[in-house]
Amino acid sequence: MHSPYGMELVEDCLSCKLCSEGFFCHLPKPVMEAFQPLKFTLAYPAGATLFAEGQVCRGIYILCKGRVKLSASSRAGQTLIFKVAQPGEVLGLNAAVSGIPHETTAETGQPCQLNFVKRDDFLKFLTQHGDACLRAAIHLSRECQQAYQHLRSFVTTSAPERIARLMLDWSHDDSKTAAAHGIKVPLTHDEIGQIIGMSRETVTRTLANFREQRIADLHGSTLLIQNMPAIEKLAGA
Amino acid sequence: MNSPYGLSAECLTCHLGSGNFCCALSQESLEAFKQIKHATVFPEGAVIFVEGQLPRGIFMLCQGQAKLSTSSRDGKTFILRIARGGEILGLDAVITGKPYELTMETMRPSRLTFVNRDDFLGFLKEHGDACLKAAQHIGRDCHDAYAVARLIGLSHSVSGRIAKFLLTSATDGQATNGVIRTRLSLSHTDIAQLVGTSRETIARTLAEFRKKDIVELKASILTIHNRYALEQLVAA
Repeated sequence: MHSPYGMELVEDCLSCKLCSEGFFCHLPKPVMEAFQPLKFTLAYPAGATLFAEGQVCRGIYILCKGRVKLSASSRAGQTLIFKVAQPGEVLGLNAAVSGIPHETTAETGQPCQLNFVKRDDFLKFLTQHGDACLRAAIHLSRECQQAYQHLRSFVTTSAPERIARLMLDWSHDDSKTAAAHGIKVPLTHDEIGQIIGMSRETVTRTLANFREQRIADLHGSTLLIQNMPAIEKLAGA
Repeated sequence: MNSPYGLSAECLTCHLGSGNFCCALSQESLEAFKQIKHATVFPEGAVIFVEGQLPRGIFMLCQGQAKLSTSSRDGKTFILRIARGGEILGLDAVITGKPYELTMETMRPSRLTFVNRDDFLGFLKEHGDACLKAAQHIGRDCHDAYAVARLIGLSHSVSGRIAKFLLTSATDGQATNGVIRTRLSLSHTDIAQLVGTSRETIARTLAEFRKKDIVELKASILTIHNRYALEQLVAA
């Protein structure tokens, strides 16, 4: 069968194999059945903008497959990446629930499958299903805590510390494969700089230092952490 | 009646403004909330919770002011924001069960309402409207955190950040003939921790602003003479 961007679309949440640890994937069956008619399954190519900062929220996007970059930019054109969302995450939840404009821009980094739910439908769904609402609160709290952690990393100024912390986060996300095959990091040096709020040059220099000291090696898009204790020490974990 | 720090600890006679978590609840949820809450009064400078501590419960700031901060390993403090009456603090930690991300310290005598973590989670499960309100509240916290991250991460000039801070503080000030006056009860150290710089830089920048006749901060009164110049600095 032909499918957009070489992806197999899954329309039915109840029989979905993409199922992850996310927000909606493990709701009780009756709640899932109520959710099923509200959603629209969409496929986007890499580089598509789902919503832009300052835009009024139309609804939420649940990421089933792929990666989405959440960023903000200044008038001068500088970009700050808040995070790279993983499958199972809900995008635009914050704006949908509190009715404020989006504070980030969401752009797909790979071909993505997403489920879209209109804001009014979603809010009605939350008022009717208490457990889904609690899930939403948990999801939002986590997002909030990540934002606080991001902020804290701006206070700690040294570049090696910020990069070590980022590597530590990546290794937690991918702990099973990390030791043997390395971690997949589909980011350019420029983008890493945008995540930690430093220039591309500083990132390149710090990574070269890490390689020289045999701490970690980022080769292409594969990161091999050679000296985990050193990374942990640098990150202050 | 005598009361600690001149604040009454009674919630039943509460006449605080709307927009508050409690005020928007249904009558039934409100009754249930009254059963689980404890009203307390704290003096100025009391540390209510510390980052890294396991969450005991939520604190609703009924009256007063508190600062929410985080510190780095080398002891640098960074104030995220100043919480005012009606806000709930520690909500994200209570809901996820992870340690508090921030430290909360009162800046004035404050009246707080405490709800135990288990009681609060049970309350949210039973009352859908309260749960949605809580989600909205966290959504707003999140929004604030993003706004601060933007400010620190995107504008690299310190004077731009200070200008932005002064403009935001003056939004509820009084304007007469283009001059805006507002009360700003913060020390230079507090401002430095809010903007993410040193106290010396704040003192130097404010002196520069005063020389150029843009802004004057004298005895906790902030006077903005040239709002346009500040906006220009933010945009640059």
